[in-house]
Amino acid sequence: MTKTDDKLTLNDFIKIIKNINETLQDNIKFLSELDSIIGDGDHGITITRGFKNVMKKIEENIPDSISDLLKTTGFTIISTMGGTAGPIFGSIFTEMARQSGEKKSINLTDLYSMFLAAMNKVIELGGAEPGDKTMIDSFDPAVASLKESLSKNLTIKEALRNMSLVAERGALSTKNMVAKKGKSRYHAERSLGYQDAGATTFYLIIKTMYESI
Amino acid sequence: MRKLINNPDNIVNELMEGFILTNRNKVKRIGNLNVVARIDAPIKEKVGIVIGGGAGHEPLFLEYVGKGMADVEVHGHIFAAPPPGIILEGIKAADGGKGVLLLYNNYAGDVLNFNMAQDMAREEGIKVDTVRVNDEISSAPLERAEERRGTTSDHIVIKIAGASAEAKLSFKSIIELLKRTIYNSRSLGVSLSPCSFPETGETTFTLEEGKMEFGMGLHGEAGIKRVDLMSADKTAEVILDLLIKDLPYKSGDEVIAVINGYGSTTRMEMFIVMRRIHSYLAEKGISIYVSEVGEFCTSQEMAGISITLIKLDNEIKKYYNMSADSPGYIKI
Repeated sequence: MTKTDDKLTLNDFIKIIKNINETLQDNIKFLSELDSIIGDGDHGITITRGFKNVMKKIEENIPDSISDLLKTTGFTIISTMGGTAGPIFGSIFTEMARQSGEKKSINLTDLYSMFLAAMNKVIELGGAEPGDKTMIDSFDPAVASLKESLSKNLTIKEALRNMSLVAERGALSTKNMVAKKGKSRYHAERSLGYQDAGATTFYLIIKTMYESI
Repeated sequence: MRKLINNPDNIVNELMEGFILTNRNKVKRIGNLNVVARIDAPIKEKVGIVIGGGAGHEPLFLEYVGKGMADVEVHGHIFAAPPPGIILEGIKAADGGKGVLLLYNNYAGDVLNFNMAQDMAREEGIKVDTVRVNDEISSAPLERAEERRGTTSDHIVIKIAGASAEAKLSFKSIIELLKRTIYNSRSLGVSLSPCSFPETGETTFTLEEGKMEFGMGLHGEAGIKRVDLMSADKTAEVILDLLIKDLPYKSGDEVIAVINGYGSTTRMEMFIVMRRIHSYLAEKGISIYVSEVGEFCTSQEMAGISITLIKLDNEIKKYYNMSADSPGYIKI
């Protein structure tokens, strides 16, 4: 694939969102179990409730642009998911929408700036830093990996594969961390040995993106 | 699972429907949303009080809507904060033109969602501000009290908010009064058995028979120490010692003492604990103005109690004594 036509289209993004919904439904029990050890046990239910509503919304009213799709996804998550996950996961998509602007297709440079903006928004909202045992421990290295792929002129597919590997490693690395944010911080020492549910969900989203294109 | 429910997906909606039907002369639902307002809301020329949080802790916050209490309640999903869109609808339903005060517990999810709603309301030109309850002393040390979560002083704080708003106190004065009430409130609980998450039936933590854990949260957040089951008297003493030194409450202080049952602890047990609270505080020279025993904030079928002490001054006492008429809290 040449660099110029290596782009993600609206149809690619629709497929990605649909597949994310399926992946999360498949992992509902796993995610809730992770959360019940060090949180309050509802992460799987919360996250799938949001994406179920996204699917309903975009099937009722098919978005006509990438930013429209991402904005609808983000707003639906924020307005139906609730909890901490709603604003955090929703803002990832609304920020990506804002960053994508009017673009009809997304190249790797665009994708990097979209993810970077999304991560900065999550940090602004949640105040987490790397090492706090949150989604950021998967998100931060994943964005760094995108930047590296960009400098190496990799294709989007290659970049997403690397990003997915790094995101997985990041999610697993939270096992060795003591929680400092959200309800799981009350389990501080007890949280050692268990991976963070938010970081795991982020990894599953990236993995699904990679597998969708 | 031993729960009387229908489709787990419909728990919150069906709970709201049943609540409205039970109290239809006092409260109304806003649209089909999980938002409840007192029947005569919005009240012109009165500061609006909006409360809310995750479901599953009833009567909190749902049942504290009414005259002399909150104007509007926004009910979240089970154990999860309500989303900003419906909080915004709640703010509009409470807006009588004198500003709207958001009053809720200090949890990350609530802060995120309520802050988003506050921004949205301000963009629409509504005057909104926030006061958060952070009375639970084991959730962060005193020097980081702003990180503490809110628990079982909620209904009293809501009562003070409702009464002072009803008395047409100014927006600014209500905020100051509530901050002082919250500062004067300290709570700590002990759990004897876990709560389950009603949508899955899974317990959120394990607590073996014959053990108790001090400081455990309403969603199974780990507490400060797990010990062998103690007597009612000893339990009251351990909790009171920690509460008293935290403010600190001093000899000569006058307090409201609340015992809250978490869900499956009997009133029999609560009265036995209250008996010791009275004698122990008397030994310390702290006088009890009023005692309250009941379920004010529950966590499904979790066993255990929490004790809340609220130090009074003349102004807090005045608003505490005014009448309140909500499904979950009545004062004549």
